[in-house]
Amino acid sequence: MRIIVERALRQNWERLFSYALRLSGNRDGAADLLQSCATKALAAAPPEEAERVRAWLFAILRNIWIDEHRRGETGALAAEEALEDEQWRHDDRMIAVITVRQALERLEQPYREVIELVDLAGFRYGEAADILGVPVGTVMSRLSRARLLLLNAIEGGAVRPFAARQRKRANDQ
Amino acid sequence: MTERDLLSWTTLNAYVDGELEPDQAARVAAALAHDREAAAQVATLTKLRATVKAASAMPAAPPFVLPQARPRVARWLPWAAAACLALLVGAASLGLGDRQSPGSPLSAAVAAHQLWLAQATPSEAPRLGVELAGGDAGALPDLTLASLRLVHLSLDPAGRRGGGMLAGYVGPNGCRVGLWIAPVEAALPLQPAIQDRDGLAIRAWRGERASYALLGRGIDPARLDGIAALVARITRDEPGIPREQVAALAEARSVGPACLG
Repeated sequence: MRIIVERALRQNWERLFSYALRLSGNRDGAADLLQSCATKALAAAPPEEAERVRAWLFAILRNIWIDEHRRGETGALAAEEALEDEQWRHDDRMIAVITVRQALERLEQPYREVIELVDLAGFRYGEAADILGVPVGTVMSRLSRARLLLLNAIEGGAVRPFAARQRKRANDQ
Repeated sequence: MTERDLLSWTTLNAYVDGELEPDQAARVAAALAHDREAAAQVATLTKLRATVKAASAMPAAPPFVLPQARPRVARWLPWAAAACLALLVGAASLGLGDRQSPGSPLSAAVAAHQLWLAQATPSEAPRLGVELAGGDAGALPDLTLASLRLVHLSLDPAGRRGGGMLAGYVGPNGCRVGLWIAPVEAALPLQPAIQDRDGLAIRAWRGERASYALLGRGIDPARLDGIAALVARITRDEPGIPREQVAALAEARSVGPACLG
């Protein structure tokens, strides 16, 4: 069992650290989180299905972070608001490494987290849902909202929920 | 699913991520052929996903270091260590230790240490010697203050010389330090003294009940001096470790180069 967990830790070490960094926001905190994750994983029994071990590690890391830093405030996104229709007006030419990087920094943590899991760590929606402890539908809506916020941020506007943006637009008119 | 749902932003995201069922994906693909705006959204999403990956360079992770699993220690091993010491002390008290070994009194210590060094490094290979957890072997000095962990124990069965025992310790960087414990050897000084030979740095001395030699290869002399002073103090049952001695150990550890063995 330990060998399986060790191998999974070794194979996912950098990506786990990246996720830990995304959660904690600093290198020292991320390194501590990673070590705690390794300690807990090595002491636990991994899932029998080999393909689930990777998501299991990410879930352990996230749960430790919640236990240590965010107990009681995991519902930062109190409600996953339904996305509203909007006339499509995004300019693909604005999507570049530098603008995306800056926009990612401005996203709220839960949105960055789902992008980290799906776009960067490469998890399927179902795996991300297991890690986050939410239904698959929530992953779908959160991810699509995250990308929309990202596009808005790339355009240079402040990152804020879509509905609020529409309300402001209506007020301005 | 209505046409509106079929080309909703959420569904298009799932389409780009390859998360739709094949039949649903096919329907989305067909609908996209007739909806220029939805097609533009798919193009934007595709570009966004690729750019997010490019923009998120993997941060440099700390080295892959797993928490150490505590070695499983047989209950009898600490007792075996204590018994070895008792035998050695007993042999010394019976006068067996007065028999001179051929050559230097440290020959057996050097041989035992080199035999240990010849074995695979503790972290890489199945350990060949008897292994102990430092915290459980009360009969041997706890050198935690010198960042040394007890990992090896070998007994020299050369009864004609009174025998001896090598306790092997390993440091955080894999440095190996051997502590040789043998019957009292009158030729050794009462305080740790330099007895380097055969490419090994050695500090040797004798106590009331046994003689001791601390051996290391390529180890910083100041660090070895500090460890020897600590062992001498522990084996004399002196209470407490002076603060300056602890500080000296820490300083030697931080300043000195890594050892070779």
